[in-house]
Parts: sequence; C-alpha cells; structure tokens
Amino acid sequence: MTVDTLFSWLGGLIPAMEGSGILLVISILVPCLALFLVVAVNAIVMVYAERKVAAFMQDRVGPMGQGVGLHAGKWGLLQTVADALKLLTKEDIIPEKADRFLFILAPFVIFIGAFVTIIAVPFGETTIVADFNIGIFYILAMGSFGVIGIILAGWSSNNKWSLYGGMRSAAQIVSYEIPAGLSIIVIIMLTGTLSMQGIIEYQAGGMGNWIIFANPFTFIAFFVYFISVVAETNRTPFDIPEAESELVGGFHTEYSGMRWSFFFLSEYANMLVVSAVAATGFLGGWHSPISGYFDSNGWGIFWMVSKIVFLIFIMMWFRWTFPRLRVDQLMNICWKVFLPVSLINIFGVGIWTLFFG
Amino acid sequence: MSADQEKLIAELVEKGLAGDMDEINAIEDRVLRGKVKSALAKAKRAAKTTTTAAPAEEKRVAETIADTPPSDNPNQKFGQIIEDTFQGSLDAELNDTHIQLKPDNWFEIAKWLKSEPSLHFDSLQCHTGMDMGENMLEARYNLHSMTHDHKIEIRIAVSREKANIPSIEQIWRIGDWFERETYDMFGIFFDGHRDHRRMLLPEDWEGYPLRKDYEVQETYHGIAIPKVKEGWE
Amino acid sequence: MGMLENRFQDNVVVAKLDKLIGWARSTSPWYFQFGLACCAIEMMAAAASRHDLERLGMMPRSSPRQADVMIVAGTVTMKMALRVKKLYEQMADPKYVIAMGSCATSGGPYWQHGYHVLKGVDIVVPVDVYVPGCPPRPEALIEGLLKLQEKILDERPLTRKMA
Repeated sequence: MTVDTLFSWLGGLIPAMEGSGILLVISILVPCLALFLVVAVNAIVMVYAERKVAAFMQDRVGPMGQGVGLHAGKWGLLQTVADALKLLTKEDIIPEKADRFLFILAPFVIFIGAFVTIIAVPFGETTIVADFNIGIFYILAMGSFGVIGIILAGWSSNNKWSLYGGMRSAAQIVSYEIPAGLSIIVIIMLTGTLSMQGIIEYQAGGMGNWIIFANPFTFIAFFVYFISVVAETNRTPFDIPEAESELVGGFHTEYSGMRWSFFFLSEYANMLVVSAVAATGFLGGWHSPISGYFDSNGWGIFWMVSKIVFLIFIMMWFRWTFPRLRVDQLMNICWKVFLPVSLINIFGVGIWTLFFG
Repeated sequence: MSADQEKLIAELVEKGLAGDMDEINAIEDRVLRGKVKSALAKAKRAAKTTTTAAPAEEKRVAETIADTPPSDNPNQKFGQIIEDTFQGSLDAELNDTHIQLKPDNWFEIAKWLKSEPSLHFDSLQCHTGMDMGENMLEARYNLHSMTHDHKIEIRIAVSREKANIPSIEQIWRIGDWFERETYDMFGIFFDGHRDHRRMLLPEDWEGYPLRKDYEVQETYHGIAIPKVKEGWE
Repeated sequence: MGMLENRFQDNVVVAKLDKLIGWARSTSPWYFQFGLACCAIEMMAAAASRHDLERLGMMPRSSPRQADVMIVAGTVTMKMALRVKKLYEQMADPKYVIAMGSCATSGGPYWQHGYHVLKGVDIVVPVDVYVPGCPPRPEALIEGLLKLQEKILDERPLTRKMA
C-alpha cells in the first residue's frame, strides 16, 4: 500500500520522471528506512520496558538513572541509549579459531530474517508497506529464516556450548513452527483469505466479531499459537538455548559489543512481528473493540500498537512467572500436546462452521 | 544360699542348658525350683548375647576368651569376630575405641564386613587420614550398619615409604571420593582405585599438605607463594 | 576503539565526545558475576530487592565477552587463579576489575597459613577498586561501584595524554 501510494505521489510531484525506475527505488527505500527506525525505536523501548517490568515484578526498581555524574535521565529513560553507545565503543573480538566469515555473517542473517517479515505487518488501514495477497503465509515462511542465522552463530563460534545452544534452538524453532502454522490455518479456514488486510476486514464491527471469540476452538487456537510463538522467539520459559545458567549464553556467548546487540535487536523484532500476527489474526487488528467509536485511520494505528504492546507485556510477564522448561519437556509438549490439540482445533472449527454457520 | 545349694543349682542349670528339663521339673520345693529356673533363664540369655555370629562362632568365642566375659563394646566384639574369621589380621590389641588392622587382606575383610548378614556394614560414614608421626600414616574408616545400627572404627597404619592400602571404593562407592581426598592430603596410595587422582588441589601440585613434614612449594605456575609471616609486617 | 584511542589533541569537540563516551560507559557497566565463595552471597543480595544494583545501570551477564566489570567475589585459590586470568583475558576492552572482600584483596583470613590461597587477586589481574569487608555489606559494594563509575567517567579515552 504505502509503496504504491508513495510511488504515485512522487510521480505526480516530478512529472518528468514519472514511472521511472529511480522513483520506484526511492519509494521502496523510504518506507524500509521508516520501518528500520520503527524496529530500532521498538528495541530501545522494549529493552527499557523489559528491565523495568522485570524489576517491578521482582519488587525492585530497575534502572533509575542513579549513579555518579550525569544521570541517565529521570527514571532511567536514557539507560538504553547509554547501553547502545557503550556497546558501540566496545572492542570487537573475533576468536582466532572461529570461522571468520560465518561469524560476521550470522547476526546479519538473523536480523534479516526478522526484518523482512515486518514489511507485511499492517499497522493501520493504509499503513502497510507491502500488502501481499499471501501476507500471512509470507510472514510464516520468512520467520523461519532466522534459524539459519542461529545455527551459523553456534557453529562458527568454535565453542561446544554455543554449538549445543545453536542446535537446541534450531530444533525448538523448527518444531514449534508446526502448531503455530496449524493455528493460523484455523484463521484461514474462517476468513478464506491469506491477505493480512483481508483477515482484519473479516473481523470488522466490534469485539464480538473477533476471531478469538467466534468459536471455542479458535479460543484454544489463540493460546496454542501464542505459546508456540513464545517458544519460537526463544523467550522464557523456553529459553534453554540462551539461558545463562544452562549454557553460559548459548549461541551468543562469543559475541561482544555491537555484534551481540544485533542478536538482542532481532529477538525483540521477532517478538514484535509475532505479536502483530497474533493481534491481526485473532484480536481484530486495527479495529477498535467498540464498533463505531475511535475507528478512523489514525485510531487504527493506536489500536494495533496497543494490542501489540499488550501481547509483548504478557511475554515479559511469562519470563518472570514460569520456571524454565528442560529441552526434552519442551519437545514433549510440542509434539505430544500442541500438535494433537491444533489438529483437533482444525477439525473442530470445520465441524462448527458446518453446523452453526 | 549355701554352697551345696549353689552347686546343686549349677548342676541342674548345666543339665537344663543341655536340654534335660526332667530333673528340674521333678524338684518339689517350689522356692528351689524357681531359683533353678531363673538361673537357667539367665544362663540362656547370657549365652545368646555372647555370639551374634553364626552358632559355630560361639564355641570358638567361648574357647578363646575363657575367663573374661564377652564385652558389649562393638569394637571389641567385632574385632574379635574379625580376628576369628581372618586369623592374623589384627595389628594391635583389642580396645574400646577402634580396631587396628593390617593392610594386607583389607579388601576381603571389607567385602565380608558388608556382605555378612549379621554384620552388614553397608555405610562407610567417614574416612580420613592421620599423620601419627614417627614414620606412621594411618587411614581411619568409620563403618555403620543401617540394618543393625552398630558402628565400628577401623584403623590401618602404614609407613611413609610404603604407604599402600587396598582400595575399598568398589565396596562402598562413597569411598571413591574419600580415598581421593586422603591421597590428596596425605599421599596414601590406594591400590585398585579406578580413578586415582587428586581431589582438591590441582593435578600438578607438589607434596601432600596435611603431613607434618610438609613444606609448601616456592612458586606455582609463576605465582610466588609467600611463606608464613610472623605477625604484622 | 583501538585506532581512536589516545590519539586526538585536546580541543572542545574531543572533550565533549570524551564526556559522552565516559558517560555512556559509566552509566551502563555490565558486570561479570564471578562469585567464588561467601562474598558471592553478598553480591547476590546487592542485586536483589532491597539494594538494587540495576538502579545504577548494572546488568548481570554470565559470558565474559559481554561484560565490562569483573567482580571477583570470594577466595581465589591457586587452581582458580589460572582460570581468573584466562577469563580476564577473554573480556572485551575496556574492562575493569573490582576485588570484593578481604580474600580477593589480600588473602583474607587465610593470609598466614593458607598454602593454596592466592594472597590477593591483584597478583594475577590488575584491580581498579578494592572493596574491603568480610563479607562487605551490599552498601559497601555499591560504594565501590560508585567509585568505579567515577573513575570511568573521568577516563577521557580519546585525548592524547602527555607522557
């Protein structure tokens, strides 16, 4: 959407070059840059929020900007900025026996995997960079791109703990794709379209029309989907690959400074994308809960962002509530519990729609 | 009681121990009969507590300790039993605190101590070493039985030049780490130990610290180790 | 920052940049939790609810490559001293060390007869701040950290310092 509108607007602005390739390139690059800013701001805000939320749940206060000299802002608001600057000025260590090219490539691959999925996320009625008609399929497919990066990171570090972490993480992500995908099939069955905007339009008209409340089976499908994506993004309670007490940091043990911050950044970008897909598919996207009120284009962005923020907050809440699952328990739950449940969901939704319309 | 009566009671008690109860039951005097029967019961009880081992031991026990009555102290009791089963294994006199053994067939003794049902020492509670001075290093074992609830202490003394004791880590698995620690601190070698290396100190440390004649080394991997300081400097 | 360090002559731009970098580094010193003995409990207590280390911007990292400060908390034996040195070398520049407790400062209660105790961790790694105590209270550790933050703030990495 946005690319097309920008292209035609620029064409109208400079009639001489209308329809040329240069304008196309510009109209693709500008939204991507804007998205990059969105991802960066999201990372900064979410790192700060995670530390504060974690602290309040543990009855502490978190970063408060206290300390010697110039403070990190009131309530520690500049804490993440200080963190980022510090990581920029750290020494860049590449271990001698590590595979140099793959070591440098791995964080970029993970970041690309997270970033290309964001272009299909609808933030508002017309605020979407690329409205594919296979939107949700595209997001699921590109979301598994990051697994390659994790395996590369674990392998190229030349460290047996990193390798274990990388392998476990790859197994975990690939396994949990299946219940997530099957839960998305439930949505596709009801709406009949793969396009993100199409799915949201199906849920127009207030909270009663949201897919999560359509059907008891879709209700269960939402929870199956949500827990599967928590496992996919390597968050607690499924964070065996990167847990500190288990594998000294897992696949990102040997990374320092800015390279390591790329892993961090892509984890938060992944969280953003999967929350956005959950909000789109089950919670009505950019529609407001009460139909008719606060329902314009600008309000659409507000509703979408608040639903995403709510789901991310629940992910952070999980982190400090549940103990970590062992690797075999993790795989057990995926294959023996979630897979049958999601298959039953598909079956159930089909039968319900047949009998109750 | 008169001497005649005592002699009569002793005779009848002996007959009763052998199994002949007819003469005792034929006594008409109720008082005398009661005295004989109580003396018989006492004699039977004493005979029972003397031996907890197989009845074959009882005769040997009665033969070797002719005049002194068998003691209740477990170290004495079991020391005697060990000496009876494995002749020549005791290294010193029996006493109330410990059993001193020679290191020669310690492995067989230990296996027998654990497997014999009436003894059944299934728990090696503690194992340590001692430097007794005068060229004598000792290894001490505290054994306890969870089924019978009795415990003994066994000490094995070796000289500094030939500090070798058979290892019992295959009998009591906790002995694995216990013996490694004793080796680390005292330098007693345990023959047959499957993983004989230092426990606490690094592998390339020189010397055995808890010996009385230990001198700490000068440097370790380039780090100088200062000697004992007298007072504040 | 290898090429840029200790390179520029002192002028207003470099001074401001120095101040910015010093502020960034001192406001987020991530610590490598190296708890060896009893002082580790006090370090954990300092990171817990009542005295909160995260207020000052410190975050615990368990990989030495991602940490700035190594808090050596507890008795360092000779066996461990080799590993302390190895981990210190694996940390990324700029790195600092805090010796917490009397055992890490000078051998502690084992100064006289401990044959296997390293009498002070500064024999193997360069120490920036010593925090005395056996064990030091969390407030004492926080004071040591504030002193370290002062030291980092005034470091001025970019200016060329006169010999």
